Amino acid sequence: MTQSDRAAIVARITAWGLGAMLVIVVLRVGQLQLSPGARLDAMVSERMSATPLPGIRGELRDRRGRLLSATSLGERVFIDPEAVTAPADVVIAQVGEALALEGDEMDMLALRIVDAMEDNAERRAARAQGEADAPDLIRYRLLTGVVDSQRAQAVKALRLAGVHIERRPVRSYPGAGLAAALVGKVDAEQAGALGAERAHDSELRGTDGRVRFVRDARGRPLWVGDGALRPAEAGGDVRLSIDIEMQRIAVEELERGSAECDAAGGRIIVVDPYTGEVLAMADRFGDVSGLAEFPWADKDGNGPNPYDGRVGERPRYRTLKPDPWRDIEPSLARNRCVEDVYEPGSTFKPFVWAAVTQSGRHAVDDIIDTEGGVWTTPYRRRVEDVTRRDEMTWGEVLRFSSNIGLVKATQDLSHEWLRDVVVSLGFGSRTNIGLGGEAAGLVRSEKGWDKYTQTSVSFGHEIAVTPLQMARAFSVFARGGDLAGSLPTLTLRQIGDVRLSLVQRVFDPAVVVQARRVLRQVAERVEEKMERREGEAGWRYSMFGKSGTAEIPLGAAPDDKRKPRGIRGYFEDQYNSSFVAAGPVEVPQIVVMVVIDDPGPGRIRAKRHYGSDTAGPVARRVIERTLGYLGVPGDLERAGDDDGEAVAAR
Amino acid sequence: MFAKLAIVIVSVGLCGATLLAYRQARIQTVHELTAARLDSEDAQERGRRLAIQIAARTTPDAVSRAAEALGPMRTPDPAAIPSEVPNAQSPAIDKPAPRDSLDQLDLLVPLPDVEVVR
Repeated sequence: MTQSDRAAIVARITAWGLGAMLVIVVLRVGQLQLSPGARLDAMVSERMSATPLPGIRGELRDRRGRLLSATSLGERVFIDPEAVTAPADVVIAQVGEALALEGDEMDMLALRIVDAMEDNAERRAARAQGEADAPDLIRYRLLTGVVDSQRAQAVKALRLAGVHIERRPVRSYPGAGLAAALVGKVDAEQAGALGAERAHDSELRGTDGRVRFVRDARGRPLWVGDGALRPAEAGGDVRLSIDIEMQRIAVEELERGSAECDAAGGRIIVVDPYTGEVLAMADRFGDVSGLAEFPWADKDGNGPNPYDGRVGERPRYRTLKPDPWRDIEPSLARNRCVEDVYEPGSTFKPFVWAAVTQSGRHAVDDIIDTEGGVWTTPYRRRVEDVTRRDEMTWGEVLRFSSNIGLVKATQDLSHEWLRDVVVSLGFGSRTNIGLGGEAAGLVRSEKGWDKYTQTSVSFGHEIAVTPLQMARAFSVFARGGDLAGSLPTLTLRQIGDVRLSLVQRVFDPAVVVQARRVLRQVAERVEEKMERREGEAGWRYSMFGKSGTAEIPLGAAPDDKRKPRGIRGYFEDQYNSSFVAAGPVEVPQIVVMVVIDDPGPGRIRAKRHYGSDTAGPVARRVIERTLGYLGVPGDLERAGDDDGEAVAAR
Repeated sequence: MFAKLAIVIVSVGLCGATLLAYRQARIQTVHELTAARLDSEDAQERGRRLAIQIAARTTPDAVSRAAEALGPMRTPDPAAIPSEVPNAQSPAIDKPAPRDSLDQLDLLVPLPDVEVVR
């Protein structure tokens, strides 16, 4: 064998050897990529981590786009007890210091960490003993609620094994303070639980996504794994019909009016009569001390006389159902504008008056015998008027709120007819505006509607309504054009235009105009009183409306108790005073419904507890301020007022 | 023969190196995309938080307090407004046509897009 042959053999062997090694390396690389061993797989898995992508819930805004509630991501600290390497006391001390916890909060943190570790020790022992139903080890225990980003960064900087930060959606309510009960709240899972959050939950709710990151040795995301991204979908935004500035005006005036009357509470609603949008809605409990619980009698009717003494000297009883959650969390408050019913009293008369007018039974100028203000019905029921006159025109019957005139007008009409009018105005049925707990009100059934009911309903008794129902019904007088006399569908959501596909007509437009003219005279009396008593005058906008004052029912007696002997079913000298109004008269833009619950004894003694004295001024001021805010040209402005002197004088 | 083998090995090596370089470039690109995505999410989150802070500080109450702090509002003196300033004289706001009228009983003019069901 020559030297060159040997060299050729060596070269061939080397070539085959290198070639074989190359093939082995390629195969090994392929095997590591496609089917790594368990040990390597575990190491690779540690470098891959799945992260949920929260579907951000949509925003709630008011009708002008002001932010009411929105979601951002907050950070929470959690522990994986199995991954903790440091002693528990070190973890507790360091995490507690980073979170700036003290006292009870520090104790709670320690308890959570120690609990999680001890639980895992027990579970591990159970597994070691071969218990089949031994629970899985805890790998996640929450240590805190949402913390600010500074504290979260401090915890991150500790680099403690097993202590992690997670991001979580947090709902904030930056502009909802005045409308907390309307805007509502979300629950721990970010689902709408109350108010508009609940009503529009399906639109607001986002869809969560998921992503798997390949991470570097420090756990920082390197890249997204192939096909490992399922993007989150954000929820849609919703614009509510309410206007936060109008809400502020309504709340301010309601609080002022309630305080002036020493009232136990107040309720207010502002509605756009054309679109049915609710522009503002608020209710307040007054700051009244010393209210007593009504002294119910025992089963035999024995008990103290609840009304021993004069008004102001005897106890003032609690007429409003307590609402303990209101002070704890405003969004949990009972929305009394939709949940609590009341007897509307004389604010109901415009509906009966318009129905009688439409029936052709009476025209505005017909003369009605009002019997000097006291009259007994054919079935021996006594009816009285506050304004006592021998006779009134049919228009004056409404203007002076004559019970006798209205009872006489309806007593010969069929019960079915009057009940149909009441039902067609939406009473006895919910508005379905989307707020939880809405009451339907109370309207007697056809069977239970007798002559007493016919008489009572004529002046707004024996019927229970919510303020929201009243605002909706009164819109029939505030709508103009071809919509006059029709009932709107109320909504809590902004409507882009006035496109309405279904309108329920109740009254003819001509009747609406006649009613509005008379109701303007009622409102003028409120303005006269305000000018005489408070010097408030120089209004820019006209309004029309109707006052009402109704006694407050006692309600059902508690178990084993009953109404004291000789006591009617109402609180004595305690009333719900209300006023429903709209303005400006010719082109109404808003309807305002105000209820002042239980004006104080001072007002009762001075006989200034009526709706025109208590709720009327609130409605007057709200209409004035709201229309000014909307930029509606004043219809009462005189020449020379253009420089704003009249407004400034108020 | 050795030269041929060396060329094969070097060629394979170059191919491998090129593939690795491409792979590294791809990884780098994907990493930058991921980082950009995370930055974008952070920016969105900062935007959300800022929007909430702005909303909390510009509530009608807060604006009202700020306005009160500025003192009483004054009516501008028309003489002090230069005439050449565009829109210096606000055009008179036309009173909208009434949707109805008490005097003329102008009620039966239908509004657009309204279907009345009696």
